[in-house]
Amino acid sequence: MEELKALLEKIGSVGDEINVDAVFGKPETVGDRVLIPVAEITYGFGAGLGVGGPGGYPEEPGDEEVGESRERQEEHGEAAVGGGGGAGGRARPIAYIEVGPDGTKVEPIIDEQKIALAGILLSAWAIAWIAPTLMALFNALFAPRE
Amino acid sequence: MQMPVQKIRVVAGTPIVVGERRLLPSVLVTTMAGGDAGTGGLFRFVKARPVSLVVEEPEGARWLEIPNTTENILSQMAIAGAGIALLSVLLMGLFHLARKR
Repeated sequence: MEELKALLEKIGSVGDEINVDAVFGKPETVGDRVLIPVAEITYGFGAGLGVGGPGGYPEEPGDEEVGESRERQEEHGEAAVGGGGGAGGRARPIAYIEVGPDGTKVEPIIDEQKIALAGILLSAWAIAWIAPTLMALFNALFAPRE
Repeated sequence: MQMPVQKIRVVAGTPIVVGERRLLPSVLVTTMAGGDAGTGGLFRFVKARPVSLVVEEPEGARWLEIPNTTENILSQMAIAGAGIALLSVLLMGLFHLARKR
């Protein structure tokens, strides 16, 4: 149990030591220009553990804490310990830095697929709002008054 | 169980030297952490986004912004969507009132 807690604490401190240089890629020379890719980096993880069984969590408020209920453990057996975790990460290019004879400039990289999907969603959203508005307008103009 | 804590800081990266130019990048680091190993679970989320670049050239130093164009366009679309909804609600209310009079 203590080893698992120590492992979780160790994993939890990983995020404090992020290397910001990972955001900027390795400079590449193309002709007389140098290109440096720039990315947004996201990562996350979660982990958990639990204790169950007869010697595990206290059954009633006021019972002894986990691991200290020796009497119950002796009576019912050892508690079961289980844990799990997951992690994920993503690097998304957002721009590139171009260093050439005519100076240094930043060129953005646009995610066209994401914008196209958002555009379709926005169109559907607009239609869903404009249609009842037009119906309300026609009702106000042409429907018999109450 | 601890409440999630969010920290935002700007961190300077290692300077990149390209010929006579020296590039000094800066990165916005957002960290969100919650839970506690002692109470059974924890999570951590880290996002590092480049924000700007200081270019030191023989002619002098200048500052360049690194725009997140995709995110900016998506934000503008979200604002447009909210505006359409708000305007529609207002117009429908007005038409409803006009019909009652």
